[in-house]
Amino acid sequence: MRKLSLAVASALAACVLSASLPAFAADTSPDATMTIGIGITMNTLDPAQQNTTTVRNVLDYEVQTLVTFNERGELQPLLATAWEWSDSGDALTLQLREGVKFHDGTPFDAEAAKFSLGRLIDDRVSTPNGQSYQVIRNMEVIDPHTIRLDLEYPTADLLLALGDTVSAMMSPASVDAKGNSYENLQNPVGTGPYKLVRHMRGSQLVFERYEDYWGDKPYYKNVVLKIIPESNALEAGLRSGQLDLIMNPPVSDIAALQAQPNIAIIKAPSDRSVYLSFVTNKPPFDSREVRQALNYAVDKQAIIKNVMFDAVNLSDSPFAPSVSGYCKTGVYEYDPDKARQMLKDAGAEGIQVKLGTPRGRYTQDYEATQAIASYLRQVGVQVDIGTADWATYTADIFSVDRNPYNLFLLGWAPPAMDAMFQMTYFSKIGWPPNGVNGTFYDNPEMEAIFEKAQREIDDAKRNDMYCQIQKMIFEDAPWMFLWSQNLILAHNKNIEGISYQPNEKFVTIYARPKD
Amino acid sequence: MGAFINYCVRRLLAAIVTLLGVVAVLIFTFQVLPGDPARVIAGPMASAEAVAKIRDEMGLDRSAVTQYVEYVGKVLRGDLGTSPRTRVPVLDEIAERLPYTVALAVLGTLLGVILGVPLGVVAAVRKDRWPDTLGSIVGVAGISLPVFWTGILLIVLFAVTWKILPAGGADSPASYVLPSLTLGIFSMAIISRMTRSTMIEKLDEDYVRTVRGKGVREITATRHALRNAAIPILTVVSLQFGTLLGGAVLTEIIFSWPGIGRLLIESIQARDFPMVQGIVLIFAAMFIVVNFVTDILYTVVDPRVRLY
Repeated sequence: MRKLSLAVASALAACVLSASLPAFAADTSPDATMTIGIGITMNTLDPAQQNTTTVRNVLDYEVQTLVTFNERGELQPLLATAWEWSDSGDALTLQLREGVKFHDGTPFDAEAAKFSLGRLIDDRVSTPNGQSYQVIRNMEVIDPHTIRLDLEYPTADLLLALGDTVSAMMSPASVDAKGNSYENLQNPVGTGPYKLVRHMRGSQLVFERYEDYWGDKPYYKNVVLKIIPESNALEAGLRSGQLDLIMNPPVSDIAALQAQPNIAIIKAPSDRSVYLSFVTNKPPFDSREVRQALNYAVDKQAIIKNVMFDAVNLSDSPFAPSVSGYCKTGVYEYDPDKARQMLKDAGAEGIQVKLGTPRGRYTQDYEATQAIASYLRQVGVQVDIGTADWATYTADIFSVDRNPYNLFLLGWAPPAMDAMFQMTYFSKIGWPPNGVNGTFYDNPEMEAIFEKAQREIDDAKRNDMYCQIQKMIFEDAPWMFLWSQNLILAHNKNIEGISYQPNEKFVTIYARPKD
Repeated sequence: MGAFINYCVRRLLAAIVTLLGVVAVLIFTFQVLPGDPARVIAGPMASAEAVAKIRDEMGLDRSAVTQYVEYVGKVLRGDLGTSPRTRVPVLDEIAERLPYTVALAVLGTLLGVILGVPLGVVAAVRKDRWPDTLGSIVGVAGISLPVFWTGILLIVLFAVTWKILPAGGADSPASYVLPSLTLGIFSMAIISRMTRSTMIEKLDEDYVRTVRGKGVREITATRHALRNAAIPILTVVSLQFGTLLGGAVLTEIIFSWPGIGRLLIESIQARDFPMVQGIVLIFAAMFIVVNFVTDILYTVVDPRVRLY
């Protein structure tokens, strides 16, 4: 018996010792591994079928799009090296990069591009985020490295949408790979700098450097993405040195993490606006003055500082700064006296507000809503806060006539930072049941400009139109404008080269240990 | 032997009726659950067409009775359907994640028995003295401390401070230690409490007094009592094991454990009905098996128990 327990004890000790890792010394071996903690389980790995930012982020190791974005959200070439609009604006010709191979050896060419984009406009494939591509009427392979997209109508936003992982280039041969079908590419084969070698559902994804990658090769041979749903555990992983990078630690811990000698914080601005939607087709919020008054009633700066721990940026426009066509419209400065007066003038003193919020979906959402409610009460508004799990909440706020709230919190982030997608939350085209614009905001003048802006190919002219639109929306205040989120990245200080895109993505392709 | 086979057949029939009931309850629950599953699965940014397509795929427009009959028909053919969220057959996903939950349930229960039974026995034998007090403190603490607290404490100590064990995941033998311990502490507490109270009762019975009167050592008397205390202990252990098989959700979340409990929660939140149905059905089946095995074990530890 004693022998047995000794054996058990030494086996346990061996286990423990073998698992102990030198913390924070960035891995510099030739087979170096970078370990990243992410919060959610991949639902699907088919770029066309997924609808989640984190899934897009993970897939970007494996697959690539025709164009991409830099840290400021500006368009950059990737698998397309150049592009040209036809004079009428309803055809886009793209020059494709030569000498690129998919991970299965298939060459990347115009046929592959046609195949990949074709899946997005094919009814057989379920593409929850495929709206932007439905404008493609026809695709013409001009030569092996040139493709022309003929469109139903001119729209500059298509080019931006080609930078969204949804439209990633997939190997046509991968349809026949194990576990794949045309409708369902669960084992994606792309052209990215890494290839997926292992996916343990709910646990981790292991990527290995693709040695025939067309561009500069990454430093890290392996990238392991661990799925860690609990934010305290995520933080513990970083603090213990077992993770090199985590995203969105609890905001209340950012300062403490920053104080750690081995941890650095990056606040990556994102295009996600967080706001309160007024239901504008019913009293009391059918009155613009009442909506403006409530905008004046809340000290957003104070909430950002005290409730949001400075993790977000005050909104100064209906568009977040990285959304195409953004122009600054201003801020409703905190002025409770003015708010009270405006409510009095509008005969809306003591109005009843049923304020809805999700819980845990956005940074400090519930906490912020409580703070907002207390500001509203100070100007005499009666506030009743309601919350529900995400599924119930969305069913409520996206319903045509059963929305229990007349003011509700939501976050909106166009995946390709395109104005068109942002506008689906302001325009009639997004009204339930067709969309999710539960404000039912109706401004015919704005809609007319929007109609023109969508079809304008000239950047300067289009931006002018969108600027007008933003000013109108700001004046009409269908939202209580709050803030845009940051993607908070906390990483091992001994690693450099970690970057981001302003659509809530981190980029570690060229991360490496500091010398 | 004929009687045993007869008994097994009766239990099997009862199991089938139970499972049919489980499916009925599930499908009824889905009817009254708030939220539009198709919209949640497609996401807030999806177009109306994409949402309609998923609604159609899930058969949400059909009546509950039709859904019930179709589902039972599919299950009989060994098909639990495909998740509209992951596009993977439900059975494949469950098969990939169930072993992690089973491993944790086995280790947690084992640890609970190894620690809990001796603790309970010692506390009973040394009733109202310091080992009993200590056992009570450990037992009450183990039951009262929520697993998310114990789990995070263990992570802070072993992963963050001492850096000797991984904070989560299931990719090395070492990563099994902390979650098993978290569950083990909880099981230990329940098992030790049950062992103590049953043992106190049994140690007071006539046959123990008779054995003691014969002048045997106390350990022999304890052994006699323990044998008779086995049935309630076994009941508690099997209930505990059955519960852990259903996925120790909080423990799985804290330790990023890729088990089935987490999958169930994710699926409920996403209104992924085929996945929820599949998982609950498997849970029910496992519970039935555990109960059956426990009943058989009763006859082993106590030959007086007759099942058939």
